[in-house]
Amino acid sequence: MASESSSINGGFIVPAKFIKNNMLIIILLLELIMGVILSPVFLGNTNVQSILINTAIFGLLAVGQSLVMLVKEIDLSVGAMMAFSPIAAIALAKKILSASGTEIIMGSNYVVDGLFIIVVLVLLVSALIGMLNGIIIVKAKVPSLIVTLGMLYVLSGMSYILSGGYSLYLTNLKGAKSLGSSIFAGIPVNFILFLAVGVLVILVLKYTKVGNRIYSTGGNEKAAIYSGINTDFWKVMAFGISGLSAGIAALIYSSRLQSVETIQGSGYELISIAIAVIGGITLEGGRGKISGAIIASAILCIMLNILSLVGLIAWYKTIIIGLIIIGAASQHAFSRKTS
Amino acid sequence: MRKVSKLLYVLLIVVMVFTVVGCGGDKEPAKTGDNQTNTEQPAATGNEKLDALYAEVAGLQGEDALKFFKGLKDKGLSDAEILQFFIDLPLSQANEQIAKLYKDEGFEMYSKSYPKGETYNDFQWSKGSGTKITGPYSKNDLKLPFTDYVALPEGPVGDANKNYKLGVVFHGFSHPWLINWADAAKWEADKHANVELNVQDAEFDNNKWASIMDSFIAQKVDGILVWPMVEAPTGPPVDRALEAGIPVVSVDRTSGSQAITSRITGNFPANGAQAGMYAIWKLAQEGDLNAKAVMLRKPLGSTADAVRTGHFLKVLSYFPGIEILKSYHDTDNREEAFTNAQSALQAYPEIDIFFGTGDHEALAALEATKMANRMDSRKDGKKIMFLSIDDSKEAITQVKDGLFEVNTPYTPLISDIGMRVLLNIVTDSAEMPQDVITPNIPMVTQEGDVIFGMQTQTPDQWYEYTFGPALK
Amino acid sequence: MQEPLLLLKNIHKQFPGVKALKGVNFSLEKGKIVSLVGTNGAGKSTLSNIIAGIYPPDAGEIFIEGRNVTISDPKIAEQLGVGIVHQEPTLVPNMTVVENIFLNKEITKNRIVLDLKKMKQESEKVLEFLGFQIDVDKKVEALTLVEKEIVEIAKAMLLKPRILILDEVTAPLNKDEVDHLFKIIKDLRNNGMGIIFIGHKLQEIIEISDSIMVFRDGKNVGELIPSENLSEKEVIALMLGSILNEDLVTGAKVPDSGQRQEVLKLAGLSKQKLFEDINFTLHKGEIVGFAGLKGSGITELFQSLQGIITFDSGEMYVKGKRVKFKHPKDGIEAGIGMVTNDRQREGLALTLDVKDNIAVSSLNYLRNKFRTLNTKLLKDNAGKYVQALSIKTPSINQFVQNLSGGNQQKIVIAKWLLRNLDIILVDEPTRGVDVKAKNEIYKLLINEKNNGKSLLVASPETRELLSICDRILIISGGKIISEVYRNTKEFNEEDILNTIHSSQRHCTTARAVFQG
Repeated sequence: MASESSSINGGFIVPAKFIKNNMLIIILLLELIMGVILSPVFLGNTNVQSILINTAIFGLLAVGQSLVMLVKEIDLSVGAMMAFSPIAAIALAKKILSASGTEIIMGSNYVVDGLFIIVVLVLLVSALIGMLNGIIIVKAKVPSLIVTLGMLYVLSGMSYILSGGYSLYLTNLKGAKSLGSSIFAGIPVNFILFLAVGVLVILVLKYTKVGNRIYSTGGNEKAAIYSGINTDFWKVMAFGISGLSAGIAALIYSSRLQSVETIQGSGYELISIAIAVIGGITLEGGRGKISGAIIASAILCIMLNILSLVGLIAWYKTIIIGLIIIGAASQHAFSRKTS
Repeated sequence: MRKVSKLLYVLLIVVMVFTVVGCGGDKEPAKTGDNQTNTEQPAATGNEKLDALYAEVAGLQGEDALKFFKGLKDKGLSDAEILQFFIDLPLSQANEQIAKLYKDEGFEMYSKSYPKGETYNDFQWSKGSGTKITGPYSKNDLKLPFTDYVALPEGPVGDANKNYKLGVVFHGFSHPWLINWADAAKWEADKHANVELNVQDAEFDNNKWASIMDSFIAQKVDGILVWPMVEAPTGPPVDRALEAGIPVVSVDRTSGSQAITSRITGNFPANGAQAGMYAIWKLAQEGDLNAKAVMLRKPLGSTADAVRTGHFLKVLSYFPGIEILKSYHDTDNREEAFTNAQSALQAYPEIDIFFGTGDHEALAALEATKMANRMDSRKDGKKIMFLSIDDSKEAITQVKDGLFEVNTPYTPLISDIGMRVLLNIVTDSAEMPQDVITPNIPMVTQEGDVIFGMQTQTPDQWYEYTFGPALK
Repeated sequence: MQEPLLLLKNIHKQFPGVKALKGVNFSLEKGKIVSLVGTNGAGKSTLSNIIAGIYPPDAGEIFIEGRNVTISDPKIAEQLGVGIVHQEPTLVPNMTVVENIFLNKEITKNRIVLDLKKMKQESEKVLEFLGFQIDVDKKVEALTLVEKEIVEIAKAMLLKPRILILDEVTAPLNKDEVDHLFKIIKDLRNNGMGIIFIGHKLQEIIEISDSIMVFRDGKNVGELIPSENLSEKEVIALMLGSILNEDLVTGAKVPDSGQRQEVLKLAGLSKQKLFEDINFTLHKGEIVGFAGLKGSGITELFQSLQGIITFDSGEMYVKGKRVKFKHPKDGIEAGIGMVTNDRQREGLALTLDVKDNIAVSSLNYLRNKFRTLNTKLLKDNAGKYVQALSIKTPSINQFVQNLSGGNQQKIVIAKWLLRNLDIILVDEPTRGVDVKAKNEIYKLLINEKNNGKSLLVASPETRELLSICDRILIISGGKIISEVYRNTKEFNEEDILNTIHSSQRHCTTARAVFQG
């Protein structure tokens, strides 16, 4: 009986439903149209590339954050991770390579050698610290909000200690700027990397068991446990991937600015949460799609770009972003209620 | 519970490993600092008159050095030259502690890389000059001190039929110092009808700063005025703009780009040197060149802290009787500075001088000292000396009230100079040097003294130039 | 002799502060249905969770077909042929039916990629076997309660278990659906499956079981074999043991309808799609029951009387004064309190202690002369009601989440008693409460009536209404379709259920709207 009545209604809801289901894409298209109308340079190469690189950095963070939010946790340490992982990796690489007689830091703060090992260490350190977050959360049963907040402070403190507060220059490190500035077929390589990561995550979630593990862990943890799923393991994995994607984002960031500084990425944890929320990932866990977060990161970066092209003062920018977050979250909640 | 404690151990070990590794990494920059400070011979300044004086003063210390300083005026030096003498004064080995500190912290390196030299067209600032404005963004009543420097008449610039599009990127529409910085730039641009300005706030995020630069490049603006928060990450975006043929001018802080079209720097050296001059002059007046000083400092490694402290210490290095008790660093935060001052007061029963390298530090020291009831705790009930830098209205008021001995101003209201330099470059109106030096501002003392022959300003003379909203 | 399918020897289990199982011995033969009965907290669900590998026993042995096994996690239970439908929902709302049925049992192609097509076919097969057609691509959150329960059963049935545990599966189902389910269960039994059935409805249990295992206080205290002669009373007697062996409370004296004061009067009260044209009068010192099926609109009617939702049209009078509430606080100020049917979510602050929960609605009356909270007065009052309602708690400082369902319910009632409201609405007064506590709650409600309070009680258990109410209004499709008075011949369970069910056939469309 229930299905009968809903199919009757189904007939005339189609257009409204179409808009509802594709809201993010529609917003994205509207933004593009707005951008073209408001600024002649909006579609210019430099501008598009600038948008794409930001989308890559924020998108990577948001994909990691989304996975964590899907298992009903939250990761506040991703911003601090963006500074800590390269700083720690360079400090470790310096130790490792100086044993074999190679000095990788010259003139007090110019990194000149060891790119490969630094990159590997960045990925390793970020994934491990992410997993450490997860392990503390599941073993000590402390809420992730608190553990990762603590980790945020620990990491930024250690970043200061390891770097002495000085910025590191990568301008003399061969190949260091390639990730941040190489262009392939008109598209920044880092954006292609981000898309590859994003698509991989989407495919894995959709077509393998992993998706069911993640969604059930966040959607109804008890149900998952009762089905024999090791939810602790999947939480640790989600945090590991979140850490890792922050590490990759740090690589892009540092490569783009050819430097590593202690404050880089600070505040990005909140932006990543904002993007995930705009993309339809909820704080209650188990709900939302990674593709939404990817589109949302583009929405946010394009909006920021348009606002900066038209020369709006930052005060209004922050208000507009806040409204987008609230609007998107309400829209998602509303469309869930009515579906 | 055991599991939890095990975990905490693991975490602790991880932290310790990183810290140990980190300490290993930490020592290296200091070592390279050594390499750069091994030359203690006075660097040639290019000014024969001053070089001769430095040769004379090289062997002097204590009372002799004081006598030499007192005689500068009689040697025919102008006020500006006297200040320049103290700024370029070489380090003396007379005070071993200070000489070692100077070397260990690598101040020579900072001092060398900081732009110094003559002002453009040998401009000299005179008290009372400048222009009163209302800040276009902040609505504060301000007085720009340097509107006669690199002066540009009101009205269209360059080709009157052409519209010049300029980008401005900085951080901090939410920060009183920085918003006044933006005010001055905007005010200058607004004077010229054919200049169109796009001012963007990167909100203390260097990636955003780079993105804004890229969007300026995309828009093919005619020129960009920047306030870089830090050097390293701001180099590549500036270089990209230069590659795209867009001139870039920085004001106040410098970017990591060596090739930047032009940079306007403030007068950090004058700040430090004058604080040193005042301390010695005042001690001499009191009749005892022995004193103990605490330095409350901005973040370690920041240019402002290093250059100011370095120039302060150079003047003091001629006097063996002065002892630096300790340096305390904060992260540009008044609370922290206050805690540091409290620690200092607790640790040292005898403090003669508090030297603060920034806006927050001296004010915090004053508060802490009042609270500890130590204002007049020096020998013979003399008042503790507070040497302050950065011209907040509050600090100048303290000088007026006799609570601060001295303030050496540093003002955000110099971005109008940068705007004029940029306009000159964009319109090809005049050849501009890469380094445009901001004129030195004489220190502010309560009554307006003559210190080693140099006339200081009174608080009332400088007050109208201070930044920020009016005090209630 | 053949080995029993499942044999448990001397199982012990302790949770922080509670000994849940104290040496349980139990065996299940092939082709048998064994029911577990007992009051809340007797250990039934703990036992089934141990069999399902949710947590291990502290001591004791488990044999499956004579083999000593250790069931350390649900996956192992599954491999050993144990299927379970848990009492609490174990579906993931945002996942589809097929994803839920195959959760952690996914079929893959080449071990990596999910084989969605095959999983759909299998799910449909199981659902078909259960006699239900559910769109397997639908998200579980879009299903009705009945459909959800069926999916839970399908999930347990998927791997064709040898042992099936059904913990409280009939709660959301109506009579026809229960009958249908029982037929399937019997078929399964006849095919050799061993089934453990846990439930609260004794009639059902007597109907379906081959044997009834009675639990009391963490031990199984006896086994009853259902027969024509076995009555519910006997089962209850064994469940309660020496604690209490008296009949259910039956109604107090019927007040004479003469010159009693009207406290609440409704005239034509309507709310679109929920209830329509409700007219009735409640008097001082009266309990009026509302009987009806789920979705008949009673809960919403109660909510609109307290101001949780607002009614569309009609008139409402409290003590002769016309009112329309926009917020529950309006209702409370006018003297109406509501004991909601979901006490954990709507009635209690689980993380607060007993005294604060009792006092929470009356804080304005517990102030001292400085207009701040009078903690002594608060404690005294809380203590008084804990004693008066015989709430079992170590102290008034205990967190309510640590108390049993019955005691939690009493605290919700105490909250309104302390506030001294004249009208109390009670929606499902004994939901999830064991027999002993039920009786205490009945006494409590009748006592309040005798003290001059007026009560409206809604319950899906007609017998409950019969035992405490002075009259019963029968609601169907949002309308009052009948009214029966105590001491009339229609005041019995059979007649009332008949009235409800016969009306049901006429207003199926209305119901569909409510459920959709």
